[in-house]
Amino acid sequence: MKRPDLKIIVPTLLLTALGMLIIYSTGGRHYLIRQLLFLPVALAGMFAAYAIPQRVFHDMAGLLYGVILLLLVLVLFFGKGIGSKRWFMLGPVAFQPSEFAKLATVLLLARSLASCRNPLFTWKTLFVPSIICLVPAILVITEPDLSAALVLAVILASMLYWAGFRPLHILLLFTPLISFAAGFSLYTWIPFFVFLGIIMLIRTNLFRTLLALLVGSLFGLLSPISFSLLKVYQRARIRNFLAPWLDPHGVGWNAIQSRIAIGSGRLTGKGFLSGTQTRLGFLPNRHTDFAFSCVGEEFGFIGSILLVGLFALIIHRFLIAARFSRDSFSSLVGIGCAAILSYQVFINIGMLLGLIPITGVPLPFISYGGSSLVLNYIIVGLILNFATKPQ
Amino acid sequence: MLVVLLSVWGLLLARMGYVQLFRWKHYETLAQKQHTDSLRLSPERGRVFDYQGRALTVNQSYSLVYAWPRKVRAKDSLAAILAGAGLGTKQEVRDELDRHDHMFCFRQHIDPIHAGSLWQRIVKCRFGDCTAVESESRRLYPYGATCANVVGFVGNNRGLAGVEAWYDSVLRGQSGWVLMQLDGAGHRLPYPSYPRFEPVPGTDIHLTLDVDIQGICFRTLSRTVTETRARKGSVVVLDVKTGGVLALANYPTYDPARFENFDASLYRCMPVCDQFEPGSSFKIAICAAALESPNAARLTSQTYDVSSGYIEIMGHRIYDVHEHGILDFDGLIVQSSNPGVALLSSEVDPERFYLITRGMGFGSRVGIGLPGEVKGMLDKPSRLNPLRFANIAFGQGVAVSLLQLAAAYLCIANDGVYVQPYFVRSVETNGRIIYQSSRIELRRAIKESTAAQMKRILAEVVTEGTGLRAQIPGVEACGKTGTAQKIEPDGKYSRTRAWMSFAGFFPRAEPRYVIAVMIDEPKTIRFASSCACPVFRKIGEQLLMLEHMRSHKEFVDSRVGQEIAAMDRKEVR
Repeated sequence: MKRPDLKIIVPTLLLTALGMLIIYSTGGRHYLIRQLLFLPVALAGMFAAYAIPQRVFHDMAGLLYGVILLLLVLVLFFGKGIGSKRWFMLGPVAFQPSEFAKLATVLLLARSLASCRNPLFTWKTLFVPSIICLVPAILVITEPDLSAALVLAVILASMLYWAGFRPLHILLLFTPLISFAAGFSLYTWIPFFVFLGIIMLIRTNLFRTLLALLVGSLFGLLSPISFSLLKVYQRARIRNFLAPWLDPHGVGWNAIQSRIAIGSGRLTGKGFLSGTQTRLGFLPNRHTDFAFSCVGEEFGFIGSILLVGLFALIIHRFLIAARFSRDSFSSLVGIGCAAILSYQVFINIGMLLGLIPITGVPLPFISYGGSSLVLNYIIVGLILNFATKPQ
Repeated sequence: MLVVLLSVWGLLLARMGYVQLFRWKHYETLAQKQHTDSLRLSPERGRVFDYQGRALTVNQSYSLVYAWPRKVRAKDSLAAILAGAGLGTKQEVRDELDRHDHMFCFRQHIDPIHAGSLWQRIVKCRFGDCTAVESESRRLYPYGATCANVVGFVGNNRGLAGVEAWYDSVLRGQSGWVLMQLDGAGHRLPYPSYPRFEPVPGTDIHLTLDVDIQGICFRTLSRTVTETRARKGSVVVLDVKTGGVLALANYPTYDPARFENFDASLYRCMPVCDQFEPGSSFKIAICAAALESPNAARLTSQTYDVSSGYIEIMGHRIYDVHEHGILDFDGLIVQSSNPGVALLSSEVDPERFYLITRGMGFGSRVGIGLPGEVKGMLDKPSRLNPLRFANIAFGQGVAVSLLQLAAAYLCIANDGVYVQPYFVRSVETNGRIIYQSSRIELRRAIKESTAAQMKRILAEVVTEGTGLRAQIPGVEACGKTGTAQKIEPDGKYSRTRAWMSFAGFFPRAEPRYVIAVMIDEPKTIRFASSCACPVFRKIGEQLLMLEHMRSHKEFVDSRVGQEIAAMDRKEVR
């Protein structure tokens, strides 16, 4: 018999309970009941992931990846959503394949990297992992769901690192992407290039430095061009992040409102069901992406610290599981899952605190949303499964 | 890896601490600003009453119906409801709803009772979210232009002229408020537990003004001003016993219901706000000063030779209008001889004259309580030379308001006691009297004997002097005319343009009324005797008639009452 790690299960359940309170506070009974109906499904997913032998995941990774890719293609034709095609509507239940694409990508990446014996910086070793990430990323961007595509990049970076690649090589691999992202503004682009140039000069030679800078600048030049190709709301979000006060009632509304809600919560919060900002409808999507602002408002700094602490505990246990798992596949899956969770927590809370632009990332276990809940429970189940040694 | 994770985590916590522990004040203020809103509850404005308790202002509440056609699901049925309330035919209402898209004011000035039942029907048919019935109140002035210069008017919830402006803080009351919650869409959410401060209604003001007398003055004045094609005219009527102002009329004036259509200069109360050169009606001052002089016996017994028609002071000639020959002291006033008064002035101490004149109320504000009151103009004796003093003695080179002039005659009528005119009789809230005024005797301005002699002289003015046309049949009136030529642009006195005044009181034995009249630049008349005097007479006659009618009515009322009581008693037996 395996013994599951209680230090993962207890914080997960605590967070889920807190999430239910928040959903009741922000969305009322209607959303609470719907979310409660998803809980058994999520728990079943967790038990399945825990019970199924690890070997099955290893062998089925390719098949799962293929199925998800197919769903991602299908959602582009049959999907629903406001301004984007993200969800399959199965009767009253919405299903978001991009959530599960993260997990499928982690599994296939882990399998691919685990089979790679010689983690050297060659185009050949990097090619396959990059393609594994790139295909779903492109499909997800087409939906469009930029943040779901970015999580794939974070997964790739952290798993490459864990597989033994040098940080410099990973940096070089992502240079075109970072250069592209930084290219929207000279204030971000120039520091990045100075940083890249110095690192390259210290670690390699002049020729490679110039090559990297050349490739990087080519992609950097693309971003102003692609800015005009972006969707209006995406452009607005980037502009809004750079200067939210320009349009306080338009796109800047969410960024300002979430901070007002969190800030007015102070140390101890206004009390459960007493948050004025979230309950009076100053925040849109307050039961989904903006759920944390309700935590901040109703439970204050103490509640927020507690919530972040619980997440930190879970991720810490994920890392330990990755460190001490029995083989490199399990270890890599552990790291990938930790990346998924960390990315979501940091992006979600960071955007509500005004650290990064507003994107549509839910807070795991807290935000309303069935697909997210089920996926996160499956991840927990996987880690519980892989972390424990057979007795 | 761990470094990256820890730094990311540290960044989150630092930011959270910054937002929630250091900047919370900023965000809390923003939050409060966003979700709280106070709704102003306006108080009922206090009313203004006349002496007989008739309301000079009325607060009429009415309702407005708003509609928001974009939100209306079934325009036809809403149109039927609105048409059913008598707000137009169904087709008209329907057209109107089609014409607008956003919220608009559908009807104004609806009877609140009808509006209440209409609102019930609207709610019942579930149109409550796309229509609104609000109630508002407006100020009406039942006596219109007659009392406009005194009562004033309200604009934008604030008194802008007259009593409404001067006593605005008293009448306005205190507005209340109720705190509301605002939601993200801007809807107000009422909370029964939310703090609420009830408005305190304004306080009622009762004036000494009598609408009947005001009406008499206004009608007489307007007719005279129109007939003589004068620029303007004013009348003041004071109650001698109390000093209460019974009428303050001027013409032209304005309609408070449409005040915005009139020139703003008409909003003032002219008897209080306009100053003019009084001319001979100011001679009471030199007369009183002479009678109070140590050499009074000589001044009153000697004669004044004005047979040449002029006298010369400091190289300037002062002419008389009519030939008078040799006059005694009374004759100076009765015949209103300017050279004679100039001669008299040379034997009167300017210091004494100044004190007595100030004592009679000239040169300082009466303090009646209306915006824009003037204090007139009276030079100090140190600034006078004999010529200036002679001029002032017959009423040139001084400026007075008609109210001041009336107050001076009130002083004589009250046997030399200066009684302050007032016109706020009482201030009441909910029947509780906060303030009540009565006769205010400020000082003894002249001796009783002086006042008696002046009464005799002023009575002579009316019986045999310049004030013949001011005679009121049946009573003995006292008064004095005044014709003050205006100064032309070239610096000389005009022959055609003048202020014509008459101030007096009656009956002589026990004065009840002081009436002061001023007509500015009548085109058809040269002297006050044929312009201001008839106004005095007409007003006086009507006042007596009014008195008679009132006493008769009381008599009739009491008789009828007694008879009914007697009949009741018979039946009981």
